[in-house]
Amino acid sequence: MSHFLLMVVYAALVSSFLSLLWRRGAREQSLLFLRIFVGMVGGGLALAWLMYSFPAGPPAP
Amino acid sequence: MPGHEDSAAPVPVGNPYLAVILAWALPGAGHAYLGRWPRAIAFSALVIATLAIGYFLDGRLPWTFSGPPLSVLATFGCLGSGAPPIALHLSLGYEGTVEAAGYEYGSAFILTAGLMNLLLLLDAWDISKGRKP
Repeated sequence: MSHFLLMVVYAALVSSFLSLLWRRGAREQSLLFLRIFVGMVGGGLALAWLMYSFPAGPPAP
Repeated sequence: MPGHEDSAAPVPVGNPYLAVILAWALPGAGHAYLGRWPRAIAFSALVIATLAIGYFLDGRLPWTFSGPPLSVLATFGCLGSGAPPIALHLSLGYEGTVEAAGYEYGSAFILTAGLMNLLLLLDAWDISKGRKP
């Protein structure tokens, strides 16, 4: 599985769990799910984009 | 109107200690015991799926009860999901494969499953005490 796909799956599971745990009602749960999911995936992509300008380390053994 | 608020307030259900023990032993079992079946099924599916993905990625299941504090903490975090990781370790001898491509990701999934279930213990306690509906 690709890194991105794993990140999306992880974000979906965590967002689903926290929205079910912290909110009652489908509308509130959906909104919280979207906020957490977009925050995790968007934050991950933003961090990756920022790190892109740094030089890569030596290749893994 | 005070009387109206009292009638709408959540009421305690079940034994909170039993709810917490069941919630730890099997993800979702505490909520099932408290009669919250839809939530029990959803939480059980989410925690087990997270743990299963970590297992299939060959992530680390730490089993360290002395030594580096962070390793001990990770062990207790992973054991938060109760019987499934214990069964994986004791019956299959599973510890993860450090050479596997998915080792780091899998470790994150396994630890997250444990931490999710620890949050469910608190939720089961609150429901049982009547603090949450």
